[in-house]
Amino acid sequence: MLLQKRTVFLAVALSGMLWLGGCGKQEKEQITSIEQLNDPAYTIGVPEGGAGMYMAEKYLPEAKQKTFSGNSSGYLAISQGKLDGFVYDRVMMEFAIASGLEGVELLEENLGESVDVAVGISPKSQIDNLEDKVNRFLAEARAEGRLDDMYERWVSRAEGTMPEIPVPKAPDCKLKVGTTGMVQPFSYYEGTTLTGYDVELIYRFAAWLNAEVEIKIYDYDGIIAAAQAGDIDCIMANLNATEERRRHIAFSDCVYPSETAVMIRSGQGSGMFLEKGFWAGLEDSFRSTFVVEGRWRLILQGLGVTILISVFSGFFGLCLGFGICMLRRTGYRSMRLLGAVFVRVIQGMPIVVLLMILYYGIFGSVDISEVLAAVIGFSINFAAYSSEMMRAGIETVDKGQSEAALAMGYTKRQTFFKIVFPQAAGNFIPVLKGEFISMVKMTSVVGYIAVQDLTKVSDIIRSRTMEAFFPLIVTAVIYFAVANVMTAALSFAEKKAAPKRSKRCVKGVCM
Amino acid sequence: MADTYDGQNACAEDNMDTSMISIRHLCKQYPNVTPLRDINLEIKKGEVISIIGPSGTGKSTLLRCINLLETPTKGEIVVDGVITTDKKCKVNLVRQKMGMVFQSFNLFAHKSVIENIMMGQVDLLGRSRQEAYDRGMELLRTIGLADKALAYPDELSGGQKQRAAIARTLAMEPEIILFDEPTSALDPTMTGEVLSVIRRLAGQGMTMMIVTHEMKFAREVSTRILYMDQGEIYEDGTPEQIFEHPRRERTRIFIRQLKVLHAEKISRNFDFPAFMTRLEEFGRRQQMAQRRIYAMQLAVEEVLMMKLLPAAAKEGARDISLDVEYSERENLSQMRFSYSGPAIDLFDDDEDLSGRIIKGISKEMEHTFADGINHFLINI
Amino acid sequence: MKITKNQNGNSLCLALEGRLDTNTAPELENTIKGAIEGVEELTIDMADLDYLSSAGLRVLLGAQKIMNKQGSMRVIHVNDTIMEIFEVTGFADILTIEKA
Repeated sequence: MLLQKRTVFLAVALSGMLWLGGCGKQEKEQITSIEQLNDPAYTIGVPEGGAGMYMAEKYLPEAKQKTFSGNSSGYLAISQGKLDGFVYDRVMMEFAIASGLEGVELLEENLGESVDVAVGISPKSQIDNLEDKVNRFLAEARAEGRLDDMYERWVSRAEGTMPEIPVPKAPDCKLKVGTTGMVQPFSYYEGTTLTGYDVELIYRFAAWLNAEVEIKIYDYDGIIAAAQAGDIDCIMANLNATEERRRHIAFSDCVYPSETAVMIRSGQGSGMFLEKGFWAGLEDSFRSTFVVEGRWRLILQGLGVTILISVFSGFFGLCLGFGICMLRRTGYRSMRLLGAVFVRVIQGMPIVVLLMILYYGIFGSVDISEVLAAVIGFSINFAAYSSEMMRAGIETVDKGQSEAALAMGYTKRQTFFKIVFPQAAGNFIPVLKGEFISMVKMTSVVGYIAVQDLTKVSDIIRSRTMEAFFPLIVTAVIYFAVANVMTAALSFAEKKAAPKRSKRCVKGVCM
Repeated sequence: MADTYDGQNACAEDNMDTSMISIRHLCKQYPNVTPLRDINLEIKKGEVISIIGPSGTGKSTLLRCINLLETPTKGEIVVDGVITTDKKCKVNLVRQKMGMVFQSFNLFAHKSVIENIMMGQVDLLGRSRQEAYDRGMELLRTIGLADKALAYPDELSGGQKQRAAIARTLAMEPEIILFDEPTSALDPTMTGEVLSVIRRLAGQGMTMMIVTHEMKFAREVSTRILYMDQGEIYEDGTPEQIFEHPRRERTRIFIRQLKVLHAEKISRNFDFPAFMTRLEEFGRRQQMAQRRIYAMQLAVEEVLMMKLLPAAAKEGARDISLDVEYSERENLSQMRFSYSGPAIDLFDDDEDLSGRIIKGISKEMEHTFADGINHFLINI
Repeated sequence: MKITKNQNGNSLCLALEGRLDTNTAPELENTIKGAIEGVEELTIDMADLDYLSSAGLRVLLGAQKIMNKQGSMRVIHVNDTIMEIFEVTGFADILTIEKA
């Protein structure tokens, strides 16, 4: 009887969910022209701040718009039917389809006029007259036919081979260039190597400038801010020189014009592994995520960065946290207040915001490695939480024992370190362990400040393989494994450090 | 350090009158309470001083001020010639000479018993771990806890914890040990084992100050008793004096565990039935026999209603007050009337009914007249 | 105090209950004054009397003086506490007392 009831309930719940899920996907007529999409019944995706966004606003004002920061999530939304159209750079979308994106197709006509792709120039660059230099370089390269040759090789013929470009032996200066690393054929990873049209342009410009080059990887939504803050001298990332962006940074002359197209869902159903069967599909996914171009090395690098940031932040955060905890226990009201304010402020701020403030704001004009900035950010964050836990742990140690130690003749400092702290540690270490593990997972946001950690690397791979889930699941599994290994390691250390009560002996004494 | 230390010791032995600790005009004040007001005290080597008195009268605060766990508000403490209340004084070195045993034991919870005893020796006295261990085991054997050396504090009974705490204190070889209600947190069954350890220390000539509520023990073990009341040393004397012949009022009330009832400014408008009820309730609370309650009521009625109030009416307003004290131990009620006015005698007229009743019900009567005040004492 | 009056011809019985002290003695005095005329036999029953003070004794003494002239008076059911008062004050010799 009960079982029946449950089954009925389950069935109702399930059908309800299906109905809700199906709601957004009611059948519409197949889209054949751009004009059709100019209708509030349709939802189109646009890239945040990109040319597609302005084209859509201009020519498809009636359609509902959703902004996407990355192109791959836009593609995914189309293939799953969450969007009716995705407005983006035609070349990039063609490449995505060529590299295996399924269930989508491009409409023939372009949306609106072509837009200049140009080099973004940081207003804070250390290099004098950078804009002039970029323009001179572009003019020379165009005159030599170099730019046309590059476009021909990377875009039209999709050869994907990087020519030998001489590296300056005695560079005059340093050039920091931002790019995305996520869009074929302009800026993408081949295995662990960054390559593409923009990357060749970067190397050529550096050679022309006789500069040592450093390439930094950003999302489209972080890259303008990075240039504004002076973290990079210029942007070579297939960047549309839109009016909006021109308000924030300067742009060079046109490198090449880009055209905007619309991606729609194709008639054929798309499913993860439907055509090939589950296991064959899984094998393909595994191969393209790990094996092809040696992408496992990229994953390992990302994993290394994640672990590096976690471990160092954990260590420094603990040290800083201890300091703050001590500050809050001093006799000076102002010091205690200072500590309390620090903890409150940090605890009340999302870690992403803290990282961005640190990287683009406080260290904006300082040449600081983004990994170091991440370590500093997470150390500060972890310090705020760990100091509170230590304080709570210390406060639970009974005051009588401190008095007894003082009465025996221990100084306050000795009392704290010999009596109070060892007992407090026993109280707060288990909680701290959990906090540390949650911090490890939180480090996944460092992509915002151009750090290529595990999460970012999986995004990069996703942008190449055009696979929706497999890289995500792989990432989840790796985080899970890392968290568990670290928990085990910490528990082991904790056991080693704690006095073994079961072992009844007195160290250093002949009984 | 050790040299000067021994030197002073020797000096103290030469002249037993030299104070080990002198306390002058010691005050401790908090915003709302003043636990200590003007304490003056000399403690000599070898003295065993018990501090007794009602709760909340500053006994523990005094001990805690002596080793500066509490900072005195005013006054001076001199330990072996060192002014410890001086800001420049290295308090931790002075504290090494003064052991302290707490009501709540305060053993270090993360260390075994033997480690508790070894820690201070190794960290503060510079002994090797082996030396500290040997000394610790020796002490544990004398207090009968050798088999618990490797146990942790939470595995011990209260009595065992307190004995271990005493051993930890002794290991530091203090010149004086301050005991802050060492048995107050213990079950009555465990009090004995701790007291016998303290008793043995007293026998060995250890200088000690003990805050305690164990009167029998204090009397038997001490060379000197301080009775503290309301933040001051109210009476200071030998156990014999304090327990047998207390000189002052509150000491007497405390020692004899007197229960008191007080009424003052008794006048003609005095609510007699209400006071009778109050007296009856007082008697009930002390579980007096009904007969005793009636006798007390009779004494009040005959003295007040029949004698003092009419006399007062004749002379104009006079101050009359009454104190009733009851000692259960001695099975004695003492009623003291005071009447300010010309001397009158209540008891001399044999023909008088009231006088006869009072005489009949009382064990003892006394009348004194001094400074214009009559004092009548009636023991029932 | 509660006084229960029981008159039977020329004999009067007064049963006292509670406390006979400074406060209640006038009450007893008035009761006796109002009922004593022509009484030849006065009985005071003290079975339920708890407490007696000199004020009460004076009233008893007054009654005894009257009854000496017009008849006799007895105090009955006297308990130990009350008896002790009678004894120490010498009333045991003046009054005719029957113990409980």
